[in-house]
Amino acid sequence: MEREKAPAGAGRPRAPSARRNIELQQTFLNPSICRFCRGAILAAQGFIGGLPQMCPDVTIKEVVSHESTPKTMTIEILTTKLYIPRPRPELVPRPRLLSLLEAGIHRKLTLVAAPAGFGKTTLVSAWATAGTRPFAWLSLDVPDNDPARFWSYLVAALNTLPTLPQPFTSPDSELDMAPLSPARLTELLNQLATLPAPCVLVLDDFHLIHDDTIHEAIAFLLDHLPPTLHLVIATRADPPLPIARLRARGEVTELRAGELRFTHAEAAAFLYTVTGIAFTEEHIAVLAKRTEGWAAGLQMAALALQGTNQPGTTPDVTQFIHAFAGSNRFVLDYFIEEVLESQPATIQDFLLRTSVLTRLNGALCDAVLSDEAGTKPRASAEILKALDAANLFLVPLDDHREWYRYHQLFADLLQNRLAQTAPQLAPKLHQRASLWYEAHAQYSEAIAHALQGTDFERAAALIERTVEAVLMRSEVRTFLAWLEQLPESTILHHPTLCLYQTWIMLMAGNPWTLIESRLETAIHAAESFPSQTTASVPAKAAPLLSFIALYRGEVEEAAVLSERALAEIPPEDTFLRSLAAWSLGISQLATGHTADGKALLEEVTRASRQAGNILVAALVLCHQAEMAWREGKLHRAQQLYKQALDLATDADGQRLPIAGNALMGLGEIYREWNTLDVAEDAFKEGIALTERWSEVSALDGYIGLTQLHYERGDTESAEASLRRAETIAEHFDTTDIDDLLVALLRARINVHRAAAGDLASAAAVAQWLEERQLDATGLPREDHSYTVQHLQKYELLVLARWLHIQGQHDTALNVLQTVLPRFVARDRPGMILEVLALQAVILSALGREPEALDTLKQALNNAAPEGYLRTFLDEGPPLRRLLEQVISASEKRHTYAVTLLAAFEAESPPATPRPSPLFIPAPAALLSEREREVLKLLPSGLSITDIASRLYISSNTARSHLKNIYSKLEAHSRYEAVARAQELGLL
Amino acid sequence: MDDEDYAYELTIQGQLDPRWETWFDGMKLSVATGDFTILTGVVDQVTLRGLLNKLWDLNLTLVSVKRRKAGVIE
Repeated sequence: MEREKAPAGAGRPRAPSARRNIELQQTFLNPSICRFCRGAILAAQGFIGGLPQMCPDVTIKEVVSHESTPKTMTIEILTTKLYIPRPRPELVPRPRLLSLLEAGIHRKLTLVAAPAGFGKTTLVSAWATAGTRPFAWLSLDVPDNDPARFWSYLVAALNTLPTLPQPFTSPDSELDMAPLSPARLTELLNQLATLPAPCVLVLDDFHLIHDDTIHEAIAFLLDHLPPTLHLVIATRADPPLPIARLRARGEVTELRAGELRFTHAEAAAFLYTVTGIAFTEEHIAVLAKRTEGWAAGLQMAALALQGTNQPGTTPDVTQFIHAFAGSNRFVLDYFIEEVLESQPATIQDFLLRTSVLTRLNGALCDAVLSDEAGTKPRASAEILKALDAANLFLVPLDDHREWYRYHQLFADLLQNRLAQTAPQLAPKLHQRASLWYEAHAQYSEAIAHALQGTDFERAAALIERTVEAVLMRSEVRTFLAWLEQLPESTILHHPTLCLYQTWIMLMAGNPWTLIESRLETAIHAAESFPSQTTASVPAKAAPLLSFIALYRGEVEEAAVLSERALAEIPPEDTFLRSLAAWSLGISQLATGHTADGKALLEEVTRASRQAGNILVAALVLCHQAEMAWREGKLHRAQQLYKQALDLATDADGQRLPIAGNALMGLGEIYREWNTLDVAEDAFKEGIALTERWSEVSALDGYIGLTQLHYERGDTESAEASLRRAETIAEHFDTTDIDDLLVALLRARINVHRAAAGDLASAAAVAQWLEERQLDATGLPREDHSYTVQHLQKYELLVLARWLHIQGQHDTALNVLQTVLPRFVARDRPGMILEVLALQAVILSALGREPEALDTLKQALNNAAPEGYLRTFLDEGPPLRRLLEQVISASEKRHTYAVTLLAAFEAESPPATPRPSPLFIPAPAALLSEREREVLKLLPSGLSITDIASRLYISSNTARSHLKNIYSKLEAHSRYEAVARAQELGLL
Repeated sequence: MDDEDYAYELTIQGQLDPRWETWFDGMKLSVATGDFTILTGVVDQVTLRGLLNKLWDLNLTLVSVKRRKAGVIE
C-alpha cells in the first residue's frame, strides 16, 4: 500500500492563495469530499461510459464536438466475424482428426495449436458444419484486445446458438466499465448452464489476443465452465492459460502440428481433389516429405501444378516434383512465382493491391483499385468469385460470398511483393480504403486504414468524430490504442482528443499531477491553434480541473474554475454544467457558505431531474444524504438515499448501477440501526452494482461490510471483505486517502484482536502507530498535510482504544480530550457519541463510576432521537454493564437504555462466533459414500455412462445417485450441483 | 541495458528469397550454405520480438538466435 510520504499536492507550485486555502481547509476537507469527487468521476465515467441511458436529454454532442457525430450505442458487430467458415467442397475429409475432436467433447477445452497454414480453421469448421451439435464461432482480430469489444463479440457469438433459452444480455445496455469482471462472467456462466444441450464455442485466431484482462477472463470461464459448453481455442501459440493444470486433470484435448500434418493418404486425396492428377505413390511421398505435411505448402504445390496443367498440355509432373524435391527454397517462395505468373496481369495486379485489405468485398476492392481519376469501374466482385473458385487462398466470410479475406500467409506473401514492386503504392491504397469505410460509416476500419497509411491528420480527424461513440461503448482501450499510434504533435493539434484522454486518465486512477499537466498541455495547445473548434477547450476542461482542485483542498481555485465553466459552457450542455455547479456547491460548503452550498446542490438535483439527467441527480442526492448522515440526521439521510434509489430504479424495477451508491449509504445507516441483515443485503447489492462500473467506488461498501461481519463475530468474512478493500485501495492511485482509510479500519480491528491476546495484531498496531506518527499528545503536527490532519482525529480514536487496552487509561482519556472538540467543531454527532461511549468505558475502568454513568447518560440522550445503536454495541460488555447500572439507577424508566440493553441481550452471548453458513456440514453428512464418489467425478465433464463405468456401476444406478445428489444439494443441474458442492467444501 | 548495442543473427531453416529482406524490417538477409537463411541486424528487443512473430507467421523454423556486441559481426 502506498503510504503518503509527502503532503498531497506536493511537487506542484502552489497558487498564491495557498495560505488562505489552508485555513479554509481547516473547516472542511475530509474523506467524504473525496467520495464526492469520486462521485464526480463516476458521473464522468457515466458520461463517457453510457450516459444516454442515464441522462436521455443531455446533448453530449455539444460537449466537445461541433461536427455531427456518428453515434452508435451498440458496438458494430461485424457478422462476418461470427460466420462459421464453410468447408470447401473439395475438402479432404480427415476422419482421424474429427474423431479426436469428437472424443474430446466432454472435456472443457480443445486446443488446436499449430503454426500458420496447418489447416486449423478448416479442421474446426469441418467439425462445426458436420451438424452433430450447435456451434458458436468467433474469429478474433487485433482490435478485439479491447475487453469491451471482446465481451460484445463473445456475447454476440453465443447469441447465435440456436438452442439458446433467452439471449445473453448485451453489455451496452447499461454502464459497463468492467465488462469482463467476475460478476459479469458469473452471470454469463449461469446463463450458459441453462443451455438445454451441450454447445461448442470456437475462438479462432486466439494468438491475436494479448490483453491480460481477456486471458484472465477466459481462464475464469474455463475454471467454472458448465458441462453445457465446450470451448475450442484455435491458435498459433499456446495461450497464457493454465493449460498444464487442465492437462493434469484430463480436461483438455490438444491437437498440434504433429496431428495436423497431412498423412500420406490425406496428401494423396488432397492433391488428387485439387489438381485432378493421379500422382504416383513416390510423387506423393516426395511432396508430403518436402512440405512436411504442411497444408499451406501442399495447397501451394497443387496450385502451381494446376497452373502448369493447361488444357491441351500434359504437365510434366515428374520433372516438376523432381525439381521441387531438389530445391532447398522455402516452399511458398518456390511456388509463389508460378502461382502468380500463371494468373493474367489484371488478376496479379488485383491480388497485390487488395492485399492491404483485411476484408474484401467487390465495392471496397473497386474503390481501392480506382486510379487517380477514380472513374473506371471495375468488376471486382466477379474477380473475387473467380479467385474463390480457383482456390487462391481466399476465405469466404459469409454464405452469399460477399465478403472475403485472404489467408494470412498469402496476404503476407502478396504484401511483401507489393512492397517490392511498388513501395509508394501502399499509403494510397490505405487512403482509398479509409475513404470507402468512412463513406460507409465504418469508422474503426476507416481509422485503422488511415493509421496504416500513415495519414495521421486524417486518422485524428476521424477519431475526433467518432470518439464519443467509441467511449460510450466503453471501448476505452481502442481509443487509447489509436492515440498510441498518433504522433504527439497530431494529438495536440486536436485538443478534443487530449481532453478525452485526461478523463480516461482520471478514470484509470492516474495521479492527478499527471492528469493536470496533460490538461495544461491541451489548453496550451488549444491556445496556439485558435480556431472555432478549439476556443472552448479551457472552459470544457474547467469542471475536471475544479474537481482536481477540490481533491487538493484548493477550494477557492475550484470555485473560480467552476464559475468559469458555468459562464462559458453553453446552457444546452447540461452535463458539464451540472458537474461545474456541483463542484461550485462543494466549494461553497467548504468556505462556510453552508446555506448557499446546500441550496446550489438542491438546485443541481432539481435541474438534473428536470433534464432527465438521472445520473447527476442521483449522485448529488447521495451527496446530500451523506451530508445529512454526517450531521447525525440518520432519518433524513435515509430519506434522501431512498429518493436517489427511486431515481436510479427504472420502470421495470431494474436498478441502474448508480443505485449502488445509495444502497451502500443505506447499508451504513441500517448497520448503525443494528438491522444487520438488511444492511448486509444493501451493502452486497450496492457493491455488485457499483463494481460493474468502478472498482474504487465499491470501497465504502467493503468497509461497511467488514465492520458488519466483524460485529456479527464472523471474522472470516470480515477478513475477506477487508482484504478486498485493501486490494481496491492499492489499485487506486489518484489519492492516498483510500489507502489510509482502509489502514485505519485494519488498525481498529487489530486493536480488538490485540485485546483478545493476539500478539501479531498487537505488533501490527504498534507498527501502524509508528507509520502514522501518532503519539499520545494527540496534537496535529504543523507539517502534516490537511488530509493527514483530518484523518488524524479518527486515528487518534484508535490510539485511545489501544492505550486503554494496555491499561494506560489516563493517557487514553487525554487523547480523547483532544479529539472531542475537533468532532464538536465539525458537528459530527455520530463521532461524538463514539468518543463519549469510549470515555464512559475508560472512566469506568479507572473506577470513576459516577462520571462514567453521567457521560453515558449524556450519550444516550443524544443518541435516542436518531436511534444510534451500533456505536454502543461495539463497545461490548463493559458498556453493557454500565448500561445496566444506568437503568437500575434511573428513577424513571430510561426508555432508550432499555432498548439498547435489549439489543445487547439479543446479541450475546457472543461467546462463539457464529459458524459461517458455508460450513454447515449437514448436506455433506447426508451424502452416501457412493454419492460422494459420483459427486467427485461431476466436475470432470464425464458423461453419466463414463462415470458409471469408472465406478463399475450401471448407468441407471449412477443416474439415481445423481438424482439424490441433486436433491440433497438442492441443485437442478450438474453445474449447480458442482458449484454447491464446492461452496460446501465437498469438492 | 542498452539494446542498441547488440546485433542479432537469426538462422532460419530453408532458403528464403532475398526479396523478403524488406519484410524483416531492414535486417540483412543472406543465404547460407545448405538449407539455411541468416538474418542479421542491430535491433532492440521490441523489434526482435516483431521479427520472431513474422517468422512464425510464415511458418518458418527458427534454428538459432545469436547476440553479439554491435560491431563485432563483420
